[in-house]
Amino acid sequence: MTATGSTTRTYNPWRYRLERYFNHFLLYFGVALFLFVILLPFYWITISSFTPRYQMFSIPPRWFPTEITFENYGKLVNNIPFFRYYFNSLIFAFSSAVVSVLFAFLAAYALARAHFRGSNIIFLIFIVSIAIPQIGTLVPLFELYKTVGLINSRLGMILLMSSLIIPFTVWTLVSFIQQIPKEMEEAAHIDGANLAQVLWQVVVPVVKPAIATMIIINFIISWNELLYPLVFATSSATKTLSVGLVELAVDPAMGAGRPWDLMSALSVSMIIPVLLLVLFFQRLIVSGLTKGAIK
Amino acid sequence: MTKKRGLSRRDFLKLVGTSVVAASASGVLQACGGAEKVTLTLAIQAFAHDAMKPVIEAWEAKTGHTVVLESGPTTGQEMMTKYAPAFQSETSPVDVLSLDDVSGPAFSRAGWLEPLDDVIPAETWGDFPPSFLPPVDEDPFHSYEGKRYRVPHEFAVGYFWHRTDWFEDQNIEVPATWDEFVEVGKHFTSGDVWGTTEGMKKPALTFVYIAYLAASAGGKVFDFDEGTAVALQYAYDMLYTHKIMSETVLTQDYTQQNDLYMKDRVAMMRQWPYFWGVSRDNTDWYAEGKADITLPPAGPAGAKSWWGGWGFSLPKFSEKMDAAKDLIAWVSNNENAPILAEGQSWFVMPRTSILDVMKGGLVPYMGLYSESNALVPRPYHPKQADAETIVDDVSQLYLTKQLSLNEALQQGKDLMAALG
Repeated sequence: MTATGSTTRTYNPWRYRLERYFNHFLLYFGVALFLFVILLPFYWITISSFTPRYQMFSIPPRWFPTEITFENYGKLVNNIPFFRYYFNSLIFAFSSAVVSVLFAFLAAYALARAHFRGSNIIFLIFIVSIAIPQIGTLVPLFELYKTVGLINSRLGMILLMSSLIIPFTVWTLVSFIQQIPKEMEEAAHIDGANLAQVLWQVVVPVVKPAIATMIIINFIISWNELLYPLVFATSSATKTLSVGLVELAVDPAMGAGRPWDLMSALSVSMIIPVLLLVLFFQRLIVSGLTKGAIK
Repeated sequence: MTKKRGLSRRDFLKLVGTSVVAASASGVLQACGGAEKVTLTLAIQAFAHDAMKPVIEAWEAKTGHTVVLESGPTTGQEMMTKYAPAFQSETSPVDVLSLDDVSGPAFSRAGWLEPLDDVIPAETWGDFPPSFLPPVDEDPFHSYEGKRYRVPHEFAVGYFWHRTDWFEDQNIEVPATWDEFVEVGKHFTSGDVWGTTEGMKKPALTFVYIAYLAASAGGKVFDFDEGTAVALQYAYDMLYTHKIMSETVLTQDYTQQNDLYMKDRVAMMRQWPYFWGVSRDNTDWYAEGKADITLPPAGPAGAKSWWGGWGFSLPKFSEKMDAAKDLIAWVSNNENAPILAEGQSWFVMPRTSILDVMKGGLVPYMGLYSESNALVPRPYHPKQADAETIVDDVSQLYLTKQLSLNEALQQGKDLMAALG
């Protein structure tokens, strides 16, 4: 009889429990740290929006508000045409999201399915265009918009924003469409469906989570966009909330510098719709984002 | 059944003749009645709109034109981002606009503004004292190549504030020189009370203070010259040698600075004019003598403080140039300047027309600074924002002991040279 040379680890319930607790501790500590880093700015900006201006920069900082006020929101509404900007932002962000996804979906389908000479180059051009610095395009775009009379128009701004986010959307949707078995579309064709029917009744239902996710992501990108509205919206009829953020000014009789009280209130007002959107469509977004991840 | 008759030759000639006469008559009538009525856009920060309205309404009634007031970005950098693409495309979304000390010179040098020399009447230009509006060849903020492009509507100078009540209680004279300032500062510094304070937080605020000290030291802050060295050394000594100013000033902003002063923890400080309103609005704290103004302590070059501000300009690409010229002349004329100043403290300036009418508030102190020759223009650089950032960075490195004075000066010179 020969003894085996391998060393077997004896089961020690205390050690096992300790290890498990330690692993749990590490996990929860990591999650807590992550949440702290992510949520602290939101917490700070939220309490700042309800803190009187004179208490905002007290030393040492107050982590918990001692006095709650809605005055900042009241002043915000009087400082800029808040509701008009809000309405403009909603129209701008929602329309840009829908228009961009609509066109991107058609382009993505063509690039995913129709292999013609140069299709890869076209796809590359889409991807490279994401890397073009936005500010470098301002002057030629302004010239173009001046010629076609689209400056300071909602339609112009929506088209502009859509053009900015379409390449990214195409890039994302192509990979989703490529995963749909071609046979499904071929079967539909055999059954007599035309291209529009195949797209609407076969492809769209399958990539619906991806489309919805892209609409939401594009809405958020457009909602937060500053540069294009700052330059191309020249009157309060088209300006968005992000422009309002750079227009907020302190009455010189009341202070100088940036009005952090009003900026905090406006930031919270801007975060709320995005937060609601993400909360309501959380499941859809997660399924849309993960669908292409595992084959 | 009657046959429908066509247009006869005679009727046709009558019709054409009548149309020509009518068209000519309408042209003559229009010429008699004045030019076509237009709608102009004037861009200025939103808090100034209410004060502008009476002046604008009077102009609308006079001319029949309409003015839309638009707000705009509050910093020069954002102003340039917003308007540069439009001006570069030879178009302008606004007809008259308010520009700051960063965007104004940048736009005039880019050739995007209309000269105002002949647009603004001589009596309006003459309303500004030379210390406020120097001759064109000495005033890079409002002029370029011998022409004026911006007419000031705001004047902000760093005033020297002090606690008259403390000085009187302790029978001490308000310091008149830098040396006296240090001595008085030492006297008041005790426990949690400091002789002086400042907001030097980056970005921008360190530049503001070092430029203020450099003005009294006779230095050109963007040259990092001997005067600037004296200013930096003086600031350093206040922090570490004499300890009359807390080291926290390096990360402090103006709100914190004011808060410290209004918690009775500071005897003297430099601050912008708005502290007048802030201090007096704090009714729980304010009493006469708690926030008075006098001339700043004199450094090697005298008692000096730099001033800056906003002004009205005409974009060269306005499509309603004649009406825009009339409007800018109207809003800046000597009759309307006091009306604007009464409506909003932002428009209070040391102009003769305002000093004659307004006697209270900050106006006497503006007069004092102006008459005492204490005003120096904001330091100018063609790349203003970048140059100010260099002063900010290098001064902070020195004042946080990361560089010696010589290293800081050399680094400042090198960075300025690289900026071009």
